[in-house]
Amino acid sequence: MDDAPETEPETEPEPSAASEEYEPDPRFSYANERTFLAWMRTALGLITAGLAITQLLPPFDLPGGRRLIGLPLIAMGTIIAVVSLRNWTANEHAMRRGLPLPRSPLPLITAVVVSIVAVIGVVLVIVEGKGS
Amino acid sequence: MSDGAPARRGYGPPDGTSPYGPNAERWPADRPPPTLAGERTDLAWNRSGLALLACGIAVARGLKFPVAEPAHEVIGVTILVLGVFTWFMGQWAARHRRRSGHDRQIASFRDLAPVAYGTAAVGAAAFLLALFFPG
Repeated sequence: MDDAPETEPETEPEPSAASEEYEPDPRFSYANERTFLAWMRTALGLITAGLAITQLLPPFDLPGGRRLIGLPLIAMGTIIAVVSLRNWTANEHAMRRGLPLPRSPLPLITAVVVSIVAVIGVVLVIVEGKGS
Repeated sequence: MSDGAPARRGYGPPDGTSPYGPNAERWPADRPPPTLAGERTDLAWNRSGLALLACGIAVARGLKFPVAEPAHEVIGVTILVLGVFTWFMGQWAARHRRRSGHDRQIASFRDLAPVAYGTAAVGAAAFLLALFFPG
């Protein structure tokens, strides 16, 4: 009889946290949806910027200079479009199970890629300026 | 004890342990859903549709191809159609959500997948275009 109360809590609360799914408060689902849409707009912005660089800018002296800047932006936009859908799904699952939200590498990767492209752009502009 | 569940809206586990959930006191069954969060989500759909429309217009009007003349218009119109689809989908979801008076109109994977894969397809096409046909 004395052992009984000690065994009960072990069987009840632990599985309820991770294995069962519950409808989250809709505000969290809306926030998840808006985050997905914000990533989608970021993807479109990167794709459009990359296209504008490769198609509309006058060519640099360095052959392939425009593509050096534009292609990574377009590739990043394409990757974001797919990965953000995966992130939305992972967040939704975590919320339904009451688990912590999974960490996404997307903000870091986006920041690194855009920073590298910006540095390349600055270098190209400086080199072009010296040449003319 | 947990049989008082019918009175609550049913978010999160009944014991209240989920961080995403149970607000039985704040969101009782007879209260409308959190409309401000829904409204922000509607506006986010609106902006996403407009961003696609702008992208489509830029492609249709601005790009130069060495290939046949109508090609860029075809790609641009395809993106424009995707934008119109996204925009209308957002508006339809918003209207439905307001009319229904309940909060079960959360987007599903099937709602979001066309937008994500459509954008990825646009990106892949843009990548090939920029790689092989720089303006």
